[in-house]
Amino acid sequence: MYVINDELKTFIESGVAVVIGTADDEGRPHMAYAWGPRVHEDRVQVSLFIDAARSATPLRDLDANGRIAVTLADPVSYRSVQLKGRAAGHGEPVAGERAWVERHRDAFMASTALVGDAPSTIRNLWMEDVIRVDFEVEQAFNQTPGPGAGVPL
Amino acid sequence: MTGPGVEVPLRDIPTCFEGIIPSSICSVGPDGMPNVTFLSVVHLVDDRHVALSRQFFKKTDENTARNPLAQVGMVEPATGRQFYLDLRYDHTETSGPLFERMRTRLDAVAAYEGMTNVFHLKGVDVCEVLHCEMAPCDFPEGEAPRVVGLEKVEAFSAKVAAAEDLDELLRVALEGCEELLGCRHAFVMLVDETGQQLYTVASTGYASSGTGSEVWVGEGLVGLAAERRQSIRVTNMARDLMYAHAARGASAEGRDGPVIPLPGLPAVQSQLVIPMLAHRKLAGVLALQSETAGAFQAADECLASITASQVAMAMASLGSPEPVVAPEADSEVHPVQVKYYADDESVFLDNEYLIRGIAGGVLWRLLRSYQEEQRVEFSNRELRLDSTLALPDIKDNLEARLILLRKRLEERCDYLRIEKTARGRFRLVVTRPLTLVAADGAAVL
Repeated sequence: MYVINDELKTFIESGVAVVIGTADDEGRPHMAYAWGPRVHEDRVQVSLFIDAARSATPLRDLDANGRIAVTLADPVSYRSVQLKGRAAGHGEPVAGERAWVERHRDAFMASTALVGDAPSTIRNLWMEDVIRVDFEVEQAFNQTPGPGAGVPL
Repeated sequence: MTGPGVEVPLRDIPTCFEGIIPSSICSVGPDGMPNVTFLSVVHLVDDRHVALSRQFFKKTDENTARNPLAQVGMVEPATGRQFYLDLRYDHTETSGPLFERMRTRLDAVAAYEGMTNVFHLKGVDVCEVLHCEMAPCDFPEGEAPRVVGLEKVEAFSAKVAAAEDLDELLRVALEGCEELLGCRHAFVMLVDETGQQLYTVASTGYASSGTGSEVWVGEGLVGLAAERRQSIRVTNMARDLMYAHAARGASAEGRDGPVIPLPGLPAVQSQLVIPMLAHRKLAGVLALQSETAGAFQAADECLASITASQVAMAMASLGSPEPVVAPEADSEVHPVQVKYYADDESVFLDNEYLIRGIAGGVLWRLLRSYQEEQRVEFSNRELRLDSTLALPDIKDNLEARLILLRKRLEERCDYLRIEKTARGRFRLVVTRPLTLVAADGAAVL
């Protein structure tokens, strides 16, 4: 169990790029982009949202073994953190969560505009329907490019 | 919206491999735990293989050593379409053309900011692509491929062949950048007689031409391309620099700027630097810039390389031309002090730096003839034969220096210029009185 402090919570919930990794029981890896990461009050559980139309494989992996890795990276500073843990469940977003996802997507786009991404990229980056994935963080690692990458937080 | 699972040929998504938008990679540890991280560039090797740089990915490396499977996620810059590539690690290369190309690409960004040892490329992992598919999306149409008609290449080639002298050749080269590649910001640097420095001889599309600016071979993006004789293509400068800064853990140290700044765009995002080679010798570099990320793609690099080679070959085959010059003088205006430092052959006009090196030596020689003998007409031949100038035996060197000198004079003053009068002949035009001062000595005249 890893307890997320205030500073890391702020980072996780900022305009970061989010990618999740899962694996099936044959050791085949799968990744997907995710949106709206949110740290729960217990500071151990995190929710994020993946595009429903792109969720079949990751959800199948999570149902099979629950193992999940999530890397969050600031598009401007490249500060990156990887969280690893166990899925606690998934489901439709509840009240307020779509707005939370929108807020994150807006912040993300504001950051990527700073590094020159074409606005036309947006139209396919995400889709309207999302699925919420909850997981418990067990470990956290520095993932910022450089010699310190991979060091546990 | 499309359904999942359709195989996409790698050649259909070339812009995903440009490093404009970071990709991500997922591997699996022996305990079954996934590991996911972003990576800056995935290189396309061929229809069935990609290469990943081995830099900071300790866990990814450990994982793929035990389980060779990985999945890479890529985003197409213009459309946002996402692609998943299922990979199987094949082998690692620590030398050879692929390794060198990737190493130069990494070093280039660090070099741009004067940083060194930011990235140590340990190796390049070549992976077989088992499957590539597009993620479901709302707008599945791809971008239209950029095509340059062969007739444009032919027209460019004809102009190169028809160029009568270096001046025209350089103009054709820069126009070619716009006609073939749609690039309006470009410059040509030639290597000097020592082979250790490059100097800007022609440019287009910059607020300040940068003519006469110099860079050491090996220094910066341009110098690195020259040193390694390898083209360098940067597709997202802002992102690359931030990546470099993050990796280095601090901002870049300052560096000494050249006396004349290189031509440059204030918000450059894409750069393409191509070494100009002829008969295996480095003649110079052709540099293209854009303020748009991803402006230069792999196909543009091929086209620019053809352009650079053609121009370099044409330069090498230009006959020893007989150039240029001449003129009159003037009046009761306040004389301009022309100061010359013999140690580096630099020339200052009223204490403002003008030029140095061979071009500086040539100017000093012309001005002395003008003051002492009232001569205004000169020929390239006499300069070549002038032992005091110590011109190296490179036939195109003098002409390039005269072009450089002419452009610098045009930019820096309105009372001194060089006009071409015939092939290999030129005239010195002086419209204000001059006082020549040698080094820290007294006035010469």
